[in-house]
Amino acid sequence: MPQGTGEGYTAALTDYAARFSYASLPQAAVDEAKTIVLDTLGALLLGSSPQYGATWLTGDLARRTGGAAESTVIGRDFKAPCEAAALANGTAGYAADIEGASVARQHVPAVLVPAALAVGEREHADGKAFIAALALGYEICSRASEACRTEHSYPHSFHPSATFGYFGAAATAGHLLRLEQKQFANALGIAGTNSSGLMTWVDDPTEHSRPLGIGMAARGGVTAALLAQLGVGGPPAIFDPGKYNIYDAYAGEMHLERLTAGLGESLWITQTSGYKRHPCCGDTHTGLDALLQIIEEHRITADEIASIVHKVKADRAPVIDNNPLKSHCAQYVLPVAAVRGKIEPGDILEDRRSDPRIRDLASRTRLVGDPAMDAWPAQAPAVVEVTTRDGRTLTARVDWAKGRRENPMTRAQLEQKFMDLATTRMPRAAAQHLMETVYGLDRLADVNDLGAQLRVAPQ
Amino acid sequence: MTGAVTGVANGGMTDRFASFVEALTYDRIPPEVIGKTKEILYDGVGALLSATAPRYDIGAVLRRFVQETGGTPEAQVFGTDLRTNCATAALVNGTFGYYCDIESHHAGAIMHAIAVVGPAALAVGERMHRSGKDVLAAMVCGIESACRVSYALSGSALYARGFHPTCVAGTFGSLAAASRLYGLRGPALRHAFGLAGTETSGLLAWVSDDTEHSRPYNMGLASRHGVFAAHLASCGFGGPPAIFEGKYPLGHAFTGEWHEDALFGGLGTAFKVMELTVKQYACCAFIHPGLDGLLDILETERVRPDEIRHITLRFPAGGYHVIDNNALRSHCAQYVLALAAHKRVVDFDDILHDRRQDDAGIRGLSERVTVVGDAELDRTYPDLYRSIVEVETAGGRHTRDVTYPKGSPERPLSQDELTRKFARLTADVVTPKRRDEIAERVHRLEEAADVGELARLLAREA
Repeated sequence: MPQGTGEGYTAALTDYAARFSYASLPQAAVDEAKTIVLDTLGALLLGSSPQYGATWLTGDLARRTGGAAESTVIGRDFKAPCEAAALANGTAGYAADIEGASVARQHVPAVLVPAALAVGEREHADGKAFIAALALGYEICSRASEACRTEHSYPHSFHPSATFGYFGAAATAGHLLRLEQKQFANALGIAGTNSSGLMTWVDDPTEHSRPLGIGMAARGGVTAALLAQLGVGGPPAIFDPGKYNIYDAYAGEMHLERLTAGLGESLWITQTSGYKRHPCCGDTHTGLDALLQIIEEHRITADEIASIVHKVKADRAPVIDNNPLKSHCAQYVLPVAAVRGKIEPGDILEDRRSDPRIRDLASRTRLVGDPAMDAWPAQAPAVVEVTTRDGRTLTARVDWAKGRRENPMTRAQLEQKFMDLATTRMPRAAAQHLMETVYGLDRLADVNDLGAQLRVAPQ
Repeated sequence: MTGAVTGVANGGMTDRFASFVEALTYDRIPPEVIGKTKEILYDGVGALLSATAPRYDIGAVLRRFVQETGGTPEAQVFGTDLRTNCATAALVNGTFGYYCDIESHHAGAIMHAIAVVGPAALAVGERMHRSGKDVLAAMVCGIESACRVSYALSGSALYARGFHPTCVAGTFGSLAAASRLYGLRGPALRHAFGLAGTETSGLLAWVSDDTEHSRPYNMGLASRHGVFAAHLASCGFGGPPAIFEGKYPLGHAFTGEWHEDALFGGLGTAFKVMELTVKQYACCAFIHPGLDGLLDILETERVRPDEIRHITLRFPAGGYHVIDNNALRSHCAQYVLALAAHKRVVDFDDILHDRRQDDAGIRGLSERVTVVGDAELDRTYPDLYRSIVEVETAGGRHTRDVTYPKGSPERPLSQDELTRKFARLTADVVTPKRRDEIAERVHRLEEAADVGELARLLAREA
């Protein structure tokens, strides 16, 4: 018997994966899956715009490297091998940083919706299989991530969305390829050895490598599942604590009980964090909401603001503190929102600090990591203190950003968000039709009917 | 941990290393380094082609993968009649390159550089119609990068976390070679290093995979990661511009260590390719000194295998666990030593097929082999795999203390021995005529106007 199979965690998860079926899903999971797909397709369409260099270049690369025309490259007018499509579309998924439904430290749907779409088209899967593949991917990547979750973020500076996304994408692709248990084990093992994605993109001001990590995960998982189907072997027990294991590699801690806790009882896809209202790093949203609340309540303008202090948990501050990436920089997004009233995708694509009012306010905006907040139960709460030029101090605390599960958007708001994003790439009627297709996903006969609606002719 | 500085730094580590890659042209490389590189390429090609023999399943599986995926036909998939895009060719050829585990390696860096760098250089060289000189210089750069990044990360620290040095650091070898051949310079080259870093990967979890597929697949991944990153950067794709430093540098992710001196010490003067060991046995390099010692005892002391009561292999304490009763036969000293005592060779077929099953002598002896971690031997590890092998018979004990295995720079193989090894490895794959043509082409690679000529010789014969 190969080493490392004694604990049986991989066996339990792959047995679950091989038996997983749409029929076993509760209605709530199906409904949530449709909302996730709707929200993610909006993000994918926006992210497929030529302004997002990472997406456009990976799309170009898919065309140059050629191969079987299996799967749609979203926002373009061609198909590519499903791996190349997964790379380009996964990159699109996180390009605008506006997609929601994250869970277990990951931008899950940015990885899994592209993976499901790419393999679903290749296999001519139906909508039910697409939904089940998405739900299964959620289970696997969430459990892998949780088993590696440490008290502190990024102990080894791997990006969980990418690193554990490989496993999720392998599971999603595996369901659509109808892998058997042993093939699932091989696919997850191969995905593990390919798994990577460093946090180092925080130093990349082009913002190309940030979403690329998500595309890599989507492609890596798809490739792993394809290879396993062909008979390639992999480490057969990747989740078990063998001599060499993912825990030492990616975390430095192991929490094995989280791999199988509640398996088959509850579904991770129904426990996501909710949806994003602002196209920037989720950790800045509570601060943005608090700031906008102060501005609205006290009817002040940006010109009246002398300074902004944005307090967050001490252990979450480093990622958004003076990050050279505008999307992840508290000192950028708060001043922009103060002056312009909201954050739009264009504010991330173009540097609004060319506006002296924003530039000046940015220099008077401070991020503070407050260790006292580390114990607050909310994930990324914020306290914003605005000092006005006339000497008032206005404070607001927001624990859960608007759109979060704890503070949800309405259906109408979600649909409005989808329409706003989708219509950046297609006419209103087409976006409306796409939304209807998503709402009828459980009746869709062939995922290619969805893919076809995501192709956009060049302007 | 060096380098807590954020962002790009002209003159920073990444910048300085990239400058070296930019500047190292063929004319600046000493002739003996070029000569050794050709030898290593020749040996690596033999190892790679042997993996495509029909009796191994990996060839058919990956052949089907390439056929299903397709790809712009710009690079040869060796040992087949298929052509595909560079990245996929590097993935498949890199996997072939380590499948038989008989290609050269760098002991101190724990690095099978040629398995990763060779396929990358040949694929991109073919696509870009580069000359033999360009490809040789790219390979020298690639081997330097792979070995030095492994040292900088610390190969043993990678092992401690369960990472495969040849994959994690090897990516920088394929990246450097591919970047040279794509013609990357300036910011694009620095971005390419960053992209390679963010995609590089490779667990040692393959030790539990008895199909022997995921072990060589890591080399394919490393080869592809580098080729892909260079290709992306050549298209204008940005990346972290200073992967060796910055807020979340490479070292922090993979080992928590970073040895700047190892990255730069002797750079441009002491070439790592000169330190590669050519393998005689199709198994983990850790076991080679012990095998030399064992076979020497059997030969000079005239010991028959059935006379052996016990074999004790003392190995550096920092690495012995890798070869002690590993489920992978290639990494199992108990199996390999017992096998060699009976057969006097270790071929890859002996790794694929467990000879303990039908040979009671090998089975019995394998149960009488002990591997011991030795603190004294650890003093020169991982630079050296110094081993002490002790054979106990009714007539007494015989001991050999071997520091340098046959094939190491200190005890090199002759040209004739290299040629015979190539012939043995490729007997089922190429005709004698083609074998001679390949040898000729590699030995005179610097004369080739387009490396595609060599790539075509490595296709399956019509």
